[in-house]
Amino acid sequence: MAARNEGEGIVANANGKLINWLINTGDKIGKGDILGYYEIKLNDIAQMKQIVCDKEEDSIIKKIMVGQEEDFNVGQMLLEIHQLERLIISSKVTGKLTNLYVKEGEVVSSGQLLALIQPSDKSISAKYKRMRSPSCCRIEKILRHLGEELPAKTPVIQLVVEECKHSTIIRDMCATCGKDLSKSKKDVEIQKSMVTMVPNVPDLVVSQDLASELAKNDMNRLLSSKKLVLIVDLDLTLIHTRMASPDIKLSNLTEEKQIYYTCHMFPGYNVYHQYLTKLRPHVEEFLKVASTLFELHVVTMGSRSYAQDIVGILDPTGSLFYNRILSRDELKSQLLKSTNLNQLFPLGDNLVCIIDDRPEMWAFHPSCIPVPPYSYFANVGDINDPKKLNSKGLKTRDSPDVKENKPVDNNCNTDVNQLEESSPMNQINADSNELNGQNTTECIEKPKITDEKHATSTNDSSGDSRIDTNNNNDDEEIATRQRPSLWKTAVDSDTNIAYYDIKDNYLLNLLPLLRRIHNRFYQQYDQLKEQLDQLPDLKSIIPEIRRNVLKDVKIVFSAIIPSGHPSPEKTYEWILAESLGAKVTHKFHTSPSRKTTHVVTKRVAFQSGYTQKVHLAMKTAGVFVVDIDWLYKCNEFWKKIEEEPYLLAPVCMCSSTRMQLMPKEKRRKSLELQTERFSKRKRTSLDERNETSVGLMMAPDFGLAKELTRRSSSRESSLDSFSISSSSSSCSLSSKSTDSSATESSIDSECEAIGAILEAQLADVN
Amino acid sequence: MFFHVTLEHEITLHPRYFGPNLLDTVRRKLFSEVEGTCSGKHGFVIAVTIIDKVGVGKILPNSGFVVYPVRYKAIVFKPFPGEVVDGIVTQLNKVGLFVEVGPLTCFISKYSIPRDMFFDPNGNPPCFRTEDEDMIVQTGDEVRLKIVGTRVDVKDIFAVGSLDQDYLGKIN
Repeated sequence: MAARNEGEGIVANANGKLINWLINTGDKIGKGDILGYYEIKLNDIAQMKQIVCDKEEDSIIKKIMVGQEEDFNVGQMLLEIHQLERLIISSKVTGKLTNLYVKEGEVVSSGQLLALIQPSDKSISAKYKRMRSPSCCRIEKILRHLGEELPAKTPVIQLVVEECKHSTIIRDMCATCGKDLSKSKKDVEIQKSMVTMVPNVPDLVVSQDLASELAKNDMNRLLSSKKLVLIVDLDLTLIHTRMASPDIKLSNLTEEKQIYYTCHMFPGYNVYHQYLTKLRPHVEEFLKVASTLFELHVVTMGSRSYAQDIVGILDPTGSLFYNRILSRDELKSQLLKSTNLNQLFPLGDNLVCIIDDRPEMWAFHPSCIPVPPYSYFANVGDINDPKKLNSKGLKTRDSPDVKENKPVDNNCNTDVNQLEESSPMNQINADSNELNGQNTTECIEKPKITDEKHATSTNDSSGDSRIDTNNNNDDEEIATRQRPSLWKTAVDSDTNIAYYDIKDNYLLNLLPLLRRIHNRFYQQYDQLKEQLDQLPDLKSIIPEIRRNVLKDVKIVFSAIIPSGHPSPEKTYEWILAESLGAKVTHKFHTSPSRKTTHVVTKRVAFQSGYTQKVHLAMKTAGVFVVDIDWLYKCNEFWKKIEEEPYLLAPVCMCSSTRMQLMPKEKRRKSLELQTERFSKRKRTSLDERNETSVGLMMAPDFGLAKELTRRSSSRESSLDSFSISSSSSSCSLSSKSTDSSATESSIDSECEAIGAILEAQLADVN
Repeated sequence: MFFHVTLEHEITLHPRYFGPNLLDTVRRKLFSEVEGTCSGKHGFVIAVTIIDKVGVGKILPNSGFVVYPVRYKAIVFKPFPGEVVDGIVTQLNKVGLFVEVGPLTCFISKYSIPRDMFFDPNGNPPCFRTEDEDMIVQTGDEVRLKIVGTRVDVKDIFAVGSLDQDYLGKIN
């Protein structure tokens, strides 16, 4: 016997060292139970002994005072306990015990019927007197037998109160003891602090303690299986959905088209809504690979029935998501998804990585990877656009009139876009040899207006308010997010569906990034585990990976931020570039310590005339003058994209004087190399262009056509304009066209022009 | 528990059904309107057994519809705490499992599942199981449970159950 009991605790009666406990807080102990083991040193020989409870009465462990591997002294309290409360149920009247509904050891809930007594006094009107349990109890002993005649006030049943903690509640009812918790005020208070644990059953709530216990189990399970959590969004990230309209021939939908038909009825509306859903290319592959590294969750602005149907399409076997779906119905805020993160992961979001086409929905959470939105159906935006839902009231989105308005809205948008952006392009393509000044000014001025608008709208979204419910901005946002007017649309002849004819490989490009994040996390995890008992945090790992994208790049913006902007550091582009790790400066620097490497400008602005920064950049060796799309592309793919397709001006290989000082042989070699590269590209340029992904086609490229005409019409003047004749051979770098709509003939003429320049250079050198 | 009770219901009939099959239509309409419904008082109406009496129809003024008071006997199912029933597991999660006992949905918390069983979300499909996989409960399994508590609303009954007693658990 190692411990003796004293009052409200179990106290040690010898010096020793605890090995382990066999019990937990809240456990019931009785006489003779083995509570744990401890080590005692007798004559330098360690002996293992048991801690035995010798308390007569049953007790409950309140608190464990000594942890494992800890030393204790004589008289130290090891466990704090409290005795069980006992209740005795007695018969109220003299009578016969006719029915007994419980057995010894059984747990009964409050108000449960225990026994019936038939009164012997005939004057009592009731046939039976019922005996009920006053609270949550365990039947300890039944003192009387069935059929016995009992005098009044005889003890019949002995109960032990086992207070239920009501840690799980479903529909106002404790899931453990079955008590109705909507009646008493105290119980209602308990419920208020409880949280939903299973998103698809909002009625089921658990206590904070249980929630964190379950979350801890989840986290340990994830860590032991070397997985992380990946939250995916549905609309425009993995799929694109539109309403079905009568002109679409649904019967012609075949499996190869990967368009799925779903049908939903929303509560309150007796109309079925029919949807057509197109999966983003490679989504199955993406989810399959991602599920080996991540536990997948869905958080979507769609309604629950919609989300469940879509997940059913993405994951027919249920092995990828298995009920881990959070829909709009369960979201706490209609504008933010991040408010529910706490509830999904009560222990913190260290393991959480998010992919969404709307990072603003996550309040720009550091672990959120923005995904370029996927558009398949022409002129259809996001059917579950949170801003649309909100501006028109919460429920109205489900009503058909709003739905029908939407495509019209988008049509207007695209029309405006076409006027503003694509019309100059058509003009240039039409008469590419001749371009008068009037046209030029027109095509520059108009996009400039949109540029400013773009800048202000993006500022708004990155500013303090972050979410703007303004309708004007909303429409503009769709335009800037999707730019549908520049994508080729096509109409499927079988089904009569208009769609964007684009290739999208983004999900496949995303996989290596996710793998990198996963590897980095577990590298840090292994390191930290050895040193401290700490967990790495994806909230710091993901931004760190992001900051390495444009490491060592020093950017100067030219014609991006409106001049006289009060705080250029707060513009969207500036923040974007800095989050990618680039160093952004106000002025063009030439000193070696902080030499600018990239001048980021806009193609349209570049055409209208060079700014001072661009001018300087073209004179300085090794500075790239790139289109802003290059920056967007780096942001999209999380890697430094090759500058070539985005170059607006040839890169000065080295300053003019140095080029002339170069040995003749070396100069010729470098020129030959460039000629070779150029001719190769000429062959592959067309194929490549088709391979380039969505974003590349977003960029209006009429600037190129203009550049081309200038070059081919008067070679001399073009050479002049680049000011350094010896390096003009690298014009070819910009020849890689990114515009899918540029005609083949214009490319040919351009190739010829550049080829001629290169040949002239070579002859010169020779 | 199942009961055989006498219930009453009013059938409203469109005049176009007036004809030789009138009573047949009333009977069919009764079946479709009553079977499968739930009331807090009587529980779930499982099946109509006998139609005792189809009363005298009353024509509603203005509409021409006819209302027949019908008295019938039906088998109803009303769950009580302490009752032992069999059900089919429909959904599992880390907090517990949902069982369908005919028309009744019943939730079993993880505290009411034997202590040696735990939720395994990595299983395919996810399941509750013992360490040695001796006992596995997954979606679609039949289990025997004891109803611990019921929540009775006007049109719905919901129950919580327990598997943590002798002779309860998966039925092989």
